Amino acid sequence: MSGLDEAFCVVVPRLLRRRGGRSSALVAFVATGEPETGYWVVSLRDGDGRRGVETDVPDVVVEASAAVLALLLDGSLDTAGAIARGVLVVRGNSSALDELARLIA
Amino acid sequence: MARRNDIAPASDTVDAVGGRPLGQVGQVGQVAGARPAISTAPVAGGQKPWQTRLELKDKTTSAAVAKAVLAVMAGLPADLLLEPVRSAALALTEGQTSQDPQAMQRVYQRCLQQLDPEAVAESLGHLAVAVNDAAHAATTPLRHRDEVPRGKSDAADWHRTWGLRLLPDNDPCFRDPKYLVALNQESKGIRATTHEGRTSLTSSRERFEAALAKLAPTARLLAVTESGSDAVSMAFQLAIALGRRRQVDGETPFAAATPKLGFFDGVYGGSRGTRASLNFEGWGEKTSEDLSAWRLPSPTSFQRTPVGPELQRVMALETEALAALTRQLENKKEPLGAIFLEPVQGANGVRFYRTGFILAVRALADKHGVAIIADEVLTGGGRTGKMFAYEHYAGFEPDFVLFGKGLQAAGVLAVGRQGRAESQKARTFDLGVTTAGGDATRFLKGAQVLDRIRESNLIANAAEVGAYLEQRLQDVQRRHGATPDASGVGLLVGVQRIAGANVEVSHSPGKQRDRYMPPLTLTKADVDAVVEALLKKADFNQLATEHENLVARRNSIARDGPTKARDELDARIEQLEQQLGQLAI
Repeated sequence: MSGLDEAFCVVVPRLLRRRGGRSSALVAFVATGEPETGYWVVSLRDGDGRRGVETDVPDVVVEASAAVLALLLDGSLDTAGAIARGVLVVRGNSSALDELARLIA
Repeated sequence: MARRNDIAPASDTVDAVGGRPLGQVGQVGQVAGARPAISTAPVAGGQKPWQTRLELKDKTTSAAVAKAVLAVMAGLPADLLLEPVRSAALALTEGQTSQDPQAMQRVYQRCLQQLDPEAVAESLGHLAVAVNDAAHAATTPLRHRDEVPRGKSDAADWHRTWGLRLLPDNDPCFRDPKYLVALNQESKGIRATTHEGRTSLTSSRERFEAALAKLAPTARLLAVTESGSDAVSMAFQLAIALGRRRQVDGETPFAAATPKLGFFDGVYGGSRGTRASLNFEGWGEKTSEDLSAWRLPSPTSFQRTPVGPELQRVMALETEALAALTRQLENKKEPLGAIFLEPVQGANGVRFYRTGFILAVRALADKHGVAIIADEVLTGGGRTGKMFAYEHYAGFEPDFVLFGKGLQAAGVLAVGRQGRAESQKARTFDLGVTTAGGDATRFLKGAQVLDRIRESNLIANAAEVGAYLEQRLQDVQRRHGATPDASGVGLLVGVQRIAGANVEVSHSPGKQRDRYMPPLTLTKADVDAVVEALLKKADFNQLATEHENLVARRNSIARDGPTKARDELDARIEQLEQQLGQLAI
């Protein structure tokens, strides 16, 4: 299990289950490399996180290098600055991110 | 059957978002197609990062260094990192950042193994806020007509917002991701919040009530309104409902009457409709119905503990007021339904009752089964150094409290006072029903304000800094040669207008004393800064007057007059001009 597997398939789902809220949104995280690549989806409806598949249709996609995603999750990244510099790219419906943040807050 | 995909697909060729390939999905605060701008260039140098000893003050050095190394290896600039990782990254020298995939894998794994779930939740909250901010930045902002006077900071705006702010707009609590995300969510929905919570009890209202309960445990949210004025309007409605339930000798003689609301002279009582203002001309009094028959004499004073002739004046008014109130309470033709009381009269230049009088009013009201409604729209939330101003009168509790302004939400609270008569308690539908009364987003803001006030102990701060402000304002008045009359409770301080005072900070509504209503986060240093400016201005005005007089005297001396006198005047004038130059604001 990779580092981000642990984050998206264990830590975030645990947070989602703790709150028990539901939403239909699907949030995707894409690691573009350095030091790993991968594609994960967090389903707010199922309260679950897993590796993404081709047929997934996420509402919002957060894309960055694996290192940046790790630092983001760790709380060491200036997210606003990273978005402004294109280090962190977010595409799609930002409401889904709000939903995720609200459900795990 | 979905096929698992272990390797991330190229985003713009395989994945789909909303039925479209990822690359075609609209960006949020980003240029479409932008790729992470991370340098992959190898970094020269043979020394491994973990072999380097870094001297960081923080004891979390080891973890911070691992993250810093990861960031540097990934080509992430240090200014995109937060402390303490930023410092650790800056401390790394070029030779310590060699590009070693295995080393990078190790620090990467270490970073992720130590993930704190709470930090993850907070980080994703920050991400959501940052994305929203980026989206807002990309749109044309709405024109905002700021109420803060030009050239003044929000923190120095001590009056113009009419007590609407208990916290400055830039308070850190308003950048809390949990709050901002919830606010964004609420703004997208229509959440009805009727006064009884019967239609849709929203989580935001629950949050507000929970936050309120921690500061005012005996208060229950009875009704929510759009503003404090609307809450005051409800006082009239309450008076009718409660008065009809008053009992006399076991009967309810006023069941079919329209009971009235008695009120003291000098209360603001700004409301809506035909009762726009209870007392103040120009604030709706001319368009209000005539309520003067229900106005009671106001035994208030600028002094919290009046003495001498002022005490005699207040005591005489107290006797008069209690007699008038007794007449209203015993009136069978036009019964009284409730008494409207502003515990500290804010709009009237900050005036106080005496505790004995307030307790006498309470006793009379209880004798006749009449409720007391406290107007705390300006004073509620800790401004006075207590959650509600009525708490300054030991042993006194009202039956209802009206709130608004700084708490961001507005409405009516029922106070859980012991021994209330039925005509002092509200029933369901006493205040009617609205389909969507209240505002879910304002509940959230109100809850955020209440939590901040409680967690940062700002009520105690208001009491302490308010006392200091009062004392320093008296210093200014003494410096001006004026009688030091500055008086208040907490951070609601009234003061006679000082000639030459900084009117942009202190603004008077008419003929009353000026009111100072700074944010509850005010510090003694903030007080000193403003007071120094006032003193400086006071000195400037004093010197300017002297300068003007001396110039007139010198000009009056004939050219062939005594040289010595003219030279002495010139010397003093020059000295004054230098001092004035130094004091110029």
